[in-house]
Amino acid sequence: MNASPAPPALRFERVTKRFGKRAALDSLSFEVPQGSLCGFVGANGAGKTTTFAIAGGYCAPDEGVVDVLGGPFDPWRLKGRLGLLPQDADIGDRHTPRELLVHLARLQGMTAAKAGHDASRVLDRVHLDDRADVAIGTLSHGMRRRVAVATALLGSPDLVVLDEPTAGLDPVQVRSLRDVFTQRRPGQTFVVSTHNLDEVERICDYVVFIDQGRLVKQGPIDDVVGRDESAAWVLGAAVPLALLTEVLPGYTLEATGEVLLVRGRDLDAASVHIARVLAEQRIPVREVRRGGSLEERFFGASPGAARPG
Amino acid sequence: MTEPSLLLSFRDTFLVARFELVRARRTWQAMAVILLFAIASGGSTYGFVQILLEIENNLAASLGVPPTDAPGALTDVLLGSDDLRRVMRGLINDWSLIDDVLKWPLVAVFHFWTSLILVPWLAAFVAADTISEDVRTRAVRFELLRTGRLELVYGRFLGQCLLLAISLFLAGLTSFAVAWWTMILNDPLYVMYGLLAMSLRAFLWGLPFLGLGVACSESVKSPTWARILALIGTTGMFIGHGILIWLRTKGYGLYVSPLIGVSPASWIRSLWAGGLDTALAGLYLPAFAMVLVGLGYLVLARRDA
Repeated sequence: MNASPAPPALRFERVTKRFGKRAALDSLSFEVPQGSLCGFVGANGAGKTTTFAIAGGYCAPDEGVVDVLGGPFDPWRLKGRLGLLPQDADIGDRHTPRELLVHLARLQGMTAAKAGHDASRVLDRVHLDDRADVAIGTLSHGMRRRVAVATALLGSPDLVVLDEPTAGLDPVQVRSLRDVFTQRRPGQTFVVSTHNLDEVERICDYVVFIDQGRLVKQGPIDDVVGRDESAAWVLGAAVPLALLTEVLPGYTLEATGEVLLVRGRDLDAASVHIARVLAEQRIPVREVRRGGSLEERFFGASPGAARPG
Repeated sequence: MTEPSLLLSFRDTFLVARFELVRARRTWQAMAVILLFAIASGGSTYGFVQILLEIENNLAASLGVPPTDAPGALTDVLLGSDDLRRVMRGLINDWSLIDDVLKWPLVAVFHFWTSLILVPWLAAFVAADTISEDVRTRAVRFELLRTGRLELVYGRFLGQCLLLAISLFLAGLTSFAVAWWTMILNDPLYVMYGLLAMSLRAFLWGLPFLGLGVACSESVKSPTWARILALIGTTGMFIGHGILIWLRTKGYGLYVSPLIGVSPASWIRSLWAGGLDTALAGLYLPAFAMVLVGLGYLVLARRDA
């Protein structure tokens, strides 16, 4: 018996949202598979925040269908199953992080005792356990941002959507938050919007590109950057192109100075032959890069991204 | 959308209300409201005590007894005096209620009268930013992800009600302290009881205006506009009531009487009267407030948050 594939954790189908005459989303369609860590990438004004606002039920789409964990947004159905960090929502400064988190955890359906316990857990996860009981107004920008991230982690929801969680954070804080994304429980889906493409490439296994409210590209990160399509070898001497062409029939080889670009079906098999030839010729290898960088793909695929936002 | 169980809906409403109090505890808002009520109540009580002193000394002169430094020495005589009844007539604007009203401690009566004037504007003004401010800063999104908009607005309304109740209770205590300090209180417990009873009536009276403030807060994103709308709305309720009364005197009673019955201002007499009348006001005024909050919800439910 064939198991039916798991429904996507988040699905937009031909979703349009207009603010006045401007379409923030223009028939946007994409899917985020369950269990993935998805990078949601787009230039400023591409529609990322609007997409997340619709996913969180803050805005209603003008057209199209939005599925969040198998159905339209519904706070009662999604209670405790969806965590969302809005990009520019103020967490207030009148209460303490613990008070805020306990309140939100209780709204997710937890008992007072469990809410208190879970608030401590997520504060520890964002390294703010020592600031749990001071007024939020006294915290730095980075700390406030981490409190906001902590709200999305309460109860370990099935789907966590984070809109630019690392905006304005220093490298140490960024690194500690990265650990939060990567140490997710099995089956848990994270969707993270960020401008840091290197980070997306390093930690995400799925990526969605949008530009001017439309989908540009989506898929597993290996497919998007073409890790199975090409490899670039940076050598320490001129490329022995004739020798390599001889041992690699069926592959397309290009040499530009000391850089060899290989295209073909089985790049793993090709790499064995290339390594052997280079070893015989005593040519050192400085770097091997599979596929293009996400940045190259992003600028290649997003016409709007090249313009300053 | 899934319909939550009534129990879950009430649970969320109370959680939101409780957090509204937690937030208010740490902000200028609660302190300002409490201070304003307390200062207004204490100050007006002091002024009223001076008027009583004047009336008592006039009475003392007419009776040929020495004047007093503190009012209260001639309470029994004072309660039967025409001067006091004229003052009371000015306060409650209804001769038929004066005997009932004068059964209460004078300080409590005056406390309620002051509340009738102050509470509508203060309640509407303070409630007007309870939602609009959080929609403007998008802070409301953290709660809206986890509960329904209906639960959010009624939770915030309930939180504001509790804040108003606390403020009026403390204002009553301030009035008691001023009276204790400046008057001869023959029965302090009775005065305390009277102030509490009148504070409860003041609370009921404030609810429609609190509801109006919350409704304005649901309808616009700018807290400033919400406050302006709430103040205009409060003023409009009184002006509208006055126009309806005038139209009734001009022979349009058939048309305007139902509207007069709806107007909160027409329930002032019931609040003074006590007994069943006050109990009915205790049902009607909160219901009126909840309807206003519900009308605001219809706007908020269709808006982007």
